[in-house]
Amino acid sequence: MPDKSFTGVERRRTTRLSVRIIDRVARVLITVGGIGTILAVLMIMVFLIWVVVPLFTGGEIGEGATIPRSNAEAPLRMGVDEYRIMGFLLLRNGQIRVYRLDTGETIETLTPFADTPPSSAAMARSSPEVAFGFPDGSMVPGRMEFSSRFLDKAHVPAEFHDMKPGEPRRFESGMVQKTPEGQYRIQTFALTLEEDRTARVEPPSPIVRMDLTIKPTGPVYALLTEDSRILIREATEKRNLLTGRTRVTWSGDEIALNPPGDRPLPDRVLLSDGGRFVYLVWRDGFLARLGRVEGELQIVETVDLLRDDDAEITALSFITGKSTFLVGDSRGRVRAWFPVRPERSGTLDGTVLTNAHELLTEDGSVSPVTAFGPSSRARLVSVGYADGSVRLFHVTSGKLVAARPTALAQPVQTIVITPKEDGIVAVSRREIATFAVLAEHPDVSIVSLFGKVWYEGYPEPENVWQSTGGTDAFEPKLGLVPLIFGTVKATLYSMLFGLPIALLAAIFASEFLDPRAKSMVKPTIEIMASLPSVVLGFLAALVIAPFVEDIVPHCLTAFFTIPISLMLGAYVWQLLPRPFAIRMGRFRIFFMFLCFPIGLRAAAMLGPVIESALFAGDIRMWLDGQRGSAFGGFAFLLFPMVGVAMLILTTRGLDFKLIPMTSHLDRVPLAVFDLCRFLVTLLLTLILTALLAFILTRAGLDTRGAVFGTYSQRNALVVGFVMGFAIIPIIFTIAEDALSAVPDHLRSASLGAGATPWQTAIRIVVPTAMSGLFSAVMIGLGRAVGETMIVLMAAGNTPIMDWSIFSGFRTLSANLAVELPEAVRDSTHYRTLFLAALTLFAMTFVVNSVAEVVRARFRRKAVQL
Amino acid sequence: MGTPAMTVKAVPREITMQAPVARCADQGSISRLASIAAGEPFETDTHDAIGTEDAVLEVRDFKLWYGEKQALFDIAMNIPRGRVTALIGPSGCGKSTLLRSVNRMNDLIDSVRIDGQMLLSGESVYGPEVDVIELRKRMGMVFQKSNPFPMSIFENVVYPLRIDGIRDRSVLEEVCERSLRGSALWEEVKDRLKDSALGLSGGQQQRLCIARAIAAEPEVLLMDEPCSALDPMATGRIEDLIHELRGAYTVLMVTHNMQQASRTSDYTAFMYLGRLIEYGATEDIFLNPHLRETADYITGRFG
Ligand SMILES: Nc1ncnc2c1ncn2[C@@H]1O[C@H](COP(=O)(O)OP(=O)(O)OP(=O)(O)O)[C@@H](O)[C@H]1O
Ligand SMILES: [Mg+2]
Repeated sequence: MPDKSFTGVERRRTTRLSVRIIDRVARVLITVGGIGTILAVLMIMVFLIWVVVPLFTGGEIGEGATIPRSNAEAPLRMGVDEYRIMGFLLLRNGQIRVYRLDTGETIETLTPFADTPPSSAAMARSSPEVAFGFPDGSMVPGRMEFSSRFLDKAHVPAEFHDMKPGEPRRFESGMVQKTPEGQYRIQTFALTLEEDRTARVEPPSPIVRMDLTIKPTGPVYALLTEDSRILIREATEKRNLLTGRTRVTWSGDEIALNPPGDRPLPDRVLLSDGGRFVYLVWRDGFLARLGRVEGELQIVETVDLLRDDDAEITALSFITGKSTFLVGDSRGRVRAWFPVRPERSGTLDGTVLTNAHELLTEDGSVSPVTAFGPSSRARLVSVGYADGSVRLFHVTSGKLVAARPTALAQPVQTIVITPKEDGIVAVSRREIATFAVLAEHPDVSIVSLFGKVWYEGYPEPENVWQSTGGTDAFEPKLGLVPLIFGTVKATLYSMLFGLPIALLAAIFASEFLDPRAKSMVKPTIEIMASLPSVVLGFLAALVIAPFVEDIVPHCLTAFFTIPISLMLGAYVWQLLPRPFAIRMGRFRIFFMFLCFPIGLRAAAMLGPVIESALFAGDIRMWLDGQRGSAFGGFAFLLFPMVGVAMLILTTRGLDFKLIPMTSHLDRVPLAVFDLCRFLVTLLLTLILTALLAFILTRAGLDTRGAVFGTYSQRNALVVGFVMGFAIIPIIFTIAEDALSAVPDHLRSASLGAGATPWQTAIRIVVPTAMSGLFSAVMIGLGRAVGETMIVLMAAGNTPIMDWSIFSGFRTLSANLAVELPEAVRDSTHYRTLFLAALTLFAMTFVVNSVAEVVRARFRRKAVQL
Repeated sequence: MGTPAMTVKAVPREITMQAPVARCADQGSISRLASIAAGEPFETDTHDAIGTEDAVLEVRDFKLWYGEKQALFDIAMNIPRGRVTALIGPSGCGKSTLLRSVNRMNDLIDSVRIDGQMLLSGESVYGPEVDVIELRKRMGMVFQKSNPFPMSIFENVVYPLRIDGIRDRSVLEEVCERSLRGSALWEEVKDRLKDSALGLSGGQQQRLCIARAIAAEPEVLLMDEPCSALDPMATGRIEDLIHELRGAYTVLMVTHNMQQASRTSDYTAFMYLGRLIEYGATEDIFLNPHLRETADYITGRFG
C-alpha cells in the first residue's frame, strides 16, 4: 500500500476479511457451477454422439485366407457353418464335399445319388430344406444342414485336452472346438433325404429347373419339366398331436408353358415368398411372372429386366424374404426388383414388378456379375464379379458397404455370407477364399435416416419408422422423419391452442387484473405448471379422448362460436346506455366470461346441425372419405380465413368511407350501426366461404387426406388441447413477468395521452416486452418439443406423416420412451434411437439458441429505455 | 400500476429576488405554518386578479386521500384559459397529486379516494358518467422524466392520433410537423423522423413528449417539472416553448425553479402540506405576496 493516499486523507476502515473471503468463495462457486453446467450438457452431447457415430462408419472386407481347390467346376451351392470352421460345396452331379474352411482339407464326401445324378436342385436360404429333381420326373425333398452338439467329456480324446479355446480340430466326421467355458462342441454336416416324400411328375419328364420356398404349413416347390410344363407342388404338413407323426398332403397346379415368341425353356425358375409368384427368367432379360388370377395359374406380367439388348443376365437370386430378387448382368450392374401393388397397375392381379434399386460399383467397373451371396438375416448381399472382385451391398439403402477389387485371381463362381454376417466365402476355379467382414450397420446412411427410402413392397420411396415387425424377414425401417414430423405436429397443435390463451392471459393479468387478484392468480397458475405431465396424459387418454370422440362436431363448432359470441358480446355492450356502461366498466370482464358458456351452448346446439348439413350426418364417416362431398371441409377451413380477411377489409379499407358518414351519429345509433356492420360482415363471410368452398369442391380438391383425415381416438386435437394446457403455465409466467417489467412511466405516458388500457397494452406494453414474450414462447416451444408423457399416452404413437388434426402421430421423445428399453444394446436400432435423442437435443438446442439470439436483439433495443 | 417515483429536488438557493418581506402585512408566519401542520383549517389567499380571467378548469373544495393519509385539503382554484399557471411548493406538498387529479391519472392508484369537484370547461371531471378516456384526450400531460415510447419519432408524435384510429397519412404527417414545430424540435429531427425516439438526447426527448402532448390539441396542458432533468440550455428552450404555447394552450405546470416560475408563468399557486396557500398573478406572488410564508418560501427561507 502507498504510504499516503492521493487525496491526502487516509481511509480509516478496512473491508473485513470475512467479507472478502465470502466474496472470493462465492465467485469461485459460481464459476465452477456455471462451467459445470455447460460441461454436463456438453458431456451428454458428446455421449450421444459417441453412441451414434458407429452408425456411419463404413464396412470393410478384410484380407482373404485362400485355400486351393482341386475341382474347377462351378458348384451349385455352397454353405458355411455359423462358427466359420467348415463349409460344403454341392456339385452339379449331386456330390457334396464337406471341407475345413481354414485348411481346405476334405472332411467327408457325400455321394447320395451315385447312380442317377439329379437333373436339378433347389435349396432354401434360411432353412435347411433342399430338393433334387431327377430325369425320371421324380423329386426328392430333404434337409441339408450343419448341426452341433457338445461332446461327453469321456469321449474326448486325450490329445484334445490341451486345445486352445476356439481352435478347430478334426474329429470323426466333424470338427471340434473348445468353447471358452471348456466344453467341446462338435460340428457335423448331414444330408437327410426324405425319400418317402418323393413326388412325381405325371406323365414323367425330366425336371430341368426347380425352386422351393417354405411356407408355415410346409414347403412349396416349383418344377419345370423338359416338356415345358410348370408344376407347383405344395406340401401341407399336419402333425397328429396324439401319435406325434406328421402327415403330408400334396396339392398343386400345373400349366403348360407357351412362352411368347418361341422362346426356349427359361434359364431360371424362381418361386417367390409363400409360393405367390413363379418367375421364369431368360438370359436376355425377359421375365414372365406367373400368378394366380381367380385361382387359375397363368402368366400375369412380362418384364424386360435389362432394358438393353446387348447385355445378358449373369446372376439371379432372391434375397432374404424371397420377395426382392437381384439381377446381375454382364455389364456389372445389379438391380433389385420386387412386386408392388400400386393404385393403378395395369396387370391382371394388380401387382407390378418394379426395379427399385440399382447397386453400382464404386469405381464404375463393368465386369460381369457372376454370383450373389445374400445374407439370410438382413438385406445384405455379397456380390462376386468376373474380374475376381467382391463387394458387399445393402439392398434397401442401395449402399455399397465394402469392396475388395482383387479378392480372387479368377472369376468368382459362388459366394456366400457366413450366417453371422462376419465373413464372406468366395469360390473360383482354383481357390476358396475366406474374408473377414466388418459391417455393423450396413443399412444406415444419412439418406436412409432422413430421406425417403424405397422399402420392399412399397409403391414408391417413403419416410417410414417401423423398428420391429412380426416375421424374420421383416426389415426394420428406421427413418427419423416421421418422428420429427410427429414432434413438429405435436408442438404446432399445442402451440396453436396454448399460445393465444397463455399470452392473452398474461396480458390480462399484467395490465387489467387487480394487483391483489393477480397475487393469487399467478401462483395458482404456476402450481399448474408442476402438475405432472403423466397425469395430464392420463386425463387426455382416458377422459378427454373418449369424450371428444363423441362430440367431434361440437368441438369443431366451438372454435367458431366462442370467438363470434365474444365479438357479438362486445358489440352488444356498446348498445348499453352510456352511463350504465361506464359504471359497470369494472365488471366488463365478467360479462366477457359470460360469453364463453353462451358460445359453448351455441356450439352444442349448432354442432349436430352442422354435422348433418356439412358432413353428411356422420362426421366420422365423412372423415373416412366414405360419405359426403368435400364442401364441408373447405367451409370449415375457409371460414376463419375469410372472416379475418373480411375483418381487415372492413376495418382498414371501408372505415375511411364510413367514418365521415357516421361521425355525426350519436353513441347508440353508432353502436347499432356497428352491430349491423358486424352481422353483415358475418353474413358476407358465410356467403363468400360457401362460394369458395363450392368452387374448390368443384375443382376436385378435398381437405380429407390433408388437414382432415380418418378419425382416430387419440389424435392431434386431444394432444394439442392437453399439451397446450401443459405449456400455458410456463408461457404465462414468463410472459407476465416480461409485461410487468415494462416501466410504468410508459404506461402513464400512454394513458395520459388518452389511450385505453387495451390500446396501451397492445401498442406500448406488448411491443416493449417483445423480447420477454418471445423467450416465453420459445421456452414453451422447447417444453412442447421435449414433452414425452402426454404424447406417449394421448397421441396414439402411430408414426404416420399426416397433418390431419384427427390422426395420431409419434414424437421423437415418445418413441424413445417406448423403444429404448427394448432395444438391443449397440444394435442399429439402439444407435438410431440415440440419434433420435441427438436430433431432439439439436431441435431444442436450436429453438433455445434462436430464442436467445432474438431476445438479445430485442433487449438491446429495450435497454435504452 | 403506480406512477413513476418523483425525484425530490433541492430548491435552488441562489435565487436573487428583491425580498418583499417588508411589504408583507402579516407577521405570524411560523405559528401559521405550525397550525397548518397541526391540521387546522386554512383559508386560501386567492388574489383578485384570478377572478377577472375566464376559467377553463375550476377546482372546488377538492380533497384527496392516499388510503388513510390525506394529501390534498380543500383545494379551490380556477385555472385561467390560455394562461400559464405554475404550481410551486416544497417537496411532498401535493403538487403532482393535484396535477394528476386533473386528468384522473390518480384513478390508477387503488388507494386513492377523492371528495369535491373539478369542472373542465364547465363539465364535471369526476362525475359518474364521465368517460375517463375521452377526458384524458382533452388534456395533454408531460411528465417530470421524459418518457418517449420505444418507437420512431414520428410514431411517438402521432400516438394520440393513432389511438383515435386515424390512419390518413397526410393528416398524420401534417400533425407531426405542426407538433414538432410547436415544441421547437422540428429543425433538429425533421431528417430522422423514422429513427428511434430513444436515440434523442434528454432535452430533445422531453420536447418530443411535449410535441406528443400538443399533437392531441388538448384544452389543458399539464406539465410536472418538465425541466427538472435538463441542463440550462434545454431548460431555456422549453421555457421559451412554454412561453410560445401561451395563448394557444392553457398550461398548468409544476416547478421547483422559482426563476422558471417567474419567467414563464402568468399565475402562480403556492402549496404547502396539501393546502393551497396563496394564488395570484406571478408578479404579485413574487414581488408582493400577501402572506409571509409565501415570501419566505420564494426567498428560500424554508422549503
Ligand atoms: N401513490 C402514492 N401512494 C401513497 N402516497 C402518495 C402516493 N403518491 C404521493 N403520495 C404522497 O402524497 C403526498 C404528495 O405527493 P406529491 O407527489 O403530490 O408531492 P409533490 O408536491 O409532487 O412533491 P415533489 O415536489 O417532491 O414532486 C406526499 O406526502 C406523498 O408521500
Ligand atoms: Mg412531484
